[in-house]
Amino acid sequence: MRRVIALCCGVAAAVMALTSAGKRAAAAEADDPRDIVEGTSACPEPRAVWSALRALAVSDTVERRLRGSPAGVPPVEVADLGAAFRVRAGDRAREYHDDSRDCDHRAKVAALFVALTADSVEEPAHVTASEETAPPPAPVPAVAHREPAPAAPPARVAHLEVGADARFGVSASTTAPGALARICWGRGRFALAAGARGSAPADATIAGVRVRQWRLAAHLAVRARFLEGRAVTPFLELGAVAALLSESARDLAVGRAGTAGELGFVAGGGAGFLRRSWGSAFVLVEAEVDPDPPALSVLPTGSVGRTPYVWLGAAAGLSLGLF
Amino acid sequence: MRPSSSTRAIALGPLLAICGTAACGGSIEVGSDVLWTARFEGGTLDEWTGAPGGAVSVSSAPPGSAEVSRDHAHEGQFAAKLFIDAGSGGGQQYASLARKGELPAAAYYSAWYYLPQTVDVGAFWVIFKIRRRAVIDDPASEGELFDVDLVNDANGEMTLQLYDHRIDATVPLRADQLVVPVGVWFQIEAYYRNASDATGALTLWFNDQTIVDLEGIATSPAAWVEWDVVSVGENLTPSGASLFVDDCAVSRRRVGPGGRIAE
Repeated sequence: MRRVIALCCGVAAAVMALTSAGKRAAAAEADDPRDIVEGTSACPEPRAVWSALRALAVSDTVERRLRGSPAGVPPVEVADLGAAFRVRAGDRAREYHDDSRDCDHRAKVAALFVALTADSVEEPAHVTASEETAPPPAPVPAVAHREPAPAAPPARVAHLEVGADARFGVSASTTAPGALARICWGRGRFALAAGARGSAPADATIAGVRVRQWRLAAHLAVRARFLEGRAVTPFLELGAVAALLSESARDLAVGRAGTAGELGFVAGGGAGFLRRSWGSAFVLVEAEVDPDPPALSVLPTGSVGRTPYVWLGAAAGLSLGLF
Repeated sequence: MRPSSSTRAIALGPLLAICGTAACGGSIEVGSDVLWTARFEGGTLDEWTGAPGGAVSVSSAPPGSAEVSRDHAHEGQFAAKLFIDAGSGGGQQYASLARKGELPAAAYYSAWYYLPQTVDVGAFWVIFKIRRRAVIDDPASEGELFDVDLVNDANGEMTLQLYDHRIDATVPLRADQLVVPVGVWFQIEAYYRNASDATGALTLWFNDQTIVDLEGIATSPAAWVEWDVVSVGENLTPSGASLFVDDCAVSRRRVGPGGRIAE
């Protein structure tokens, strides 16, 4: 707990220093970044980052500690990616998302990242005599003594979700393994999930008739995400599903296969977890309801019963960020 | 970010395509438990004569006959017409469609009948038979087992009777005052399980009404079954009796009055 409080105080101090120094930083925009901060970024500009860095009163330390970069490579580099920007300090880099393109804010965030990174870098071994006799560097804000919090993975608009799936047809006494693939499109609270899943052929008993069945379903659902940014991100889904169901009799005198369509709705919930830069893992449970499922017909009886009204499913897999 | 209309169209496309190519909420035909049928729609009796152990026989032709007719049909255009001339003093006459052997140990046997007129039965008139063999490979060991007869009730109307040759007696029906309609198709269906020990069974339905249910009986010493759709009569008035037969089937699943025996 004390560690958390100290970290919070450190972050607050750093933010306050950046805020109060905003005007001074603006005045110093004309200052030469002295080859420390480079890049072609328009937002934030390297000069703005440098100014923000100087406002933190750690520029000397930063310069000294990051000078160890290979020849020809600037210690700090910023790049404007449009709705995001990227900042590299030494051999560490982070990408931050910023739809609003607040360039001042970007400069401060970049400077803070550079300062924290520089603080975690050991002094170069080949220091000069003049540097050895130089006065000790200015004290670094408390936040600089903490490891930077893990940067949030870059927000993506589209994810490809692939995974293993299992479906159970209620009243059909079967559980079929399968796989799913779908695209989840959207950022923020709501997204659109569309995809397909297939269930491998599995034996089942429907109305006393033994059949082998497989199922291919496509669905379109709206997803609502909660606790965005947390380690575990729950979500709920509600949508429509259309499926192609194939049944083949196993022990009739004359068996044959037939297919029919299903149209219903799907509701489910799940969670994303193990967030990484490439995406995350996910689990999903859901129920599909077909109010008018196909009838199973056997001669001479005719219709002997219906295929399942309800399919219960569970899936687990990876959600891969696309763009 | 809101999904664009094109995105929604792309996502909805597969859903609509699936239901467009396969009727949603339709029916899936997965096969049949019907083992054999005779619907006579080919205009011949070949379904009987061409089947394993199938035979068509008539005791005295003419005037007796077994032929395909357009006069009455249960479904389609044709039915089999069994005609016998079995007047008083003429002895037993028959026209028979038979399946001898090559039948499962347990199955449902169904046939539809049409009686054009009321007949006064002086001796007997058998229309549905289950027969057996004492020795499976010995035709000489064949014998009678169960007969479904048409008889007259106290009012002179036609009714049914089951004769059990094992005990040489009629078996009381579960239905009182059963009347066989004249001029209307009716169905007789039997579930017969052949067994040499007390695991055999015979259940009879008349138009979906259970009229006999014998369970736990020894039916035959050999694994051999004969099913006959017949007109076997003696001392009938009028002597010339026609019986129409249609949509005969052997099935592993009960046919019932609403059953379909063909696509």
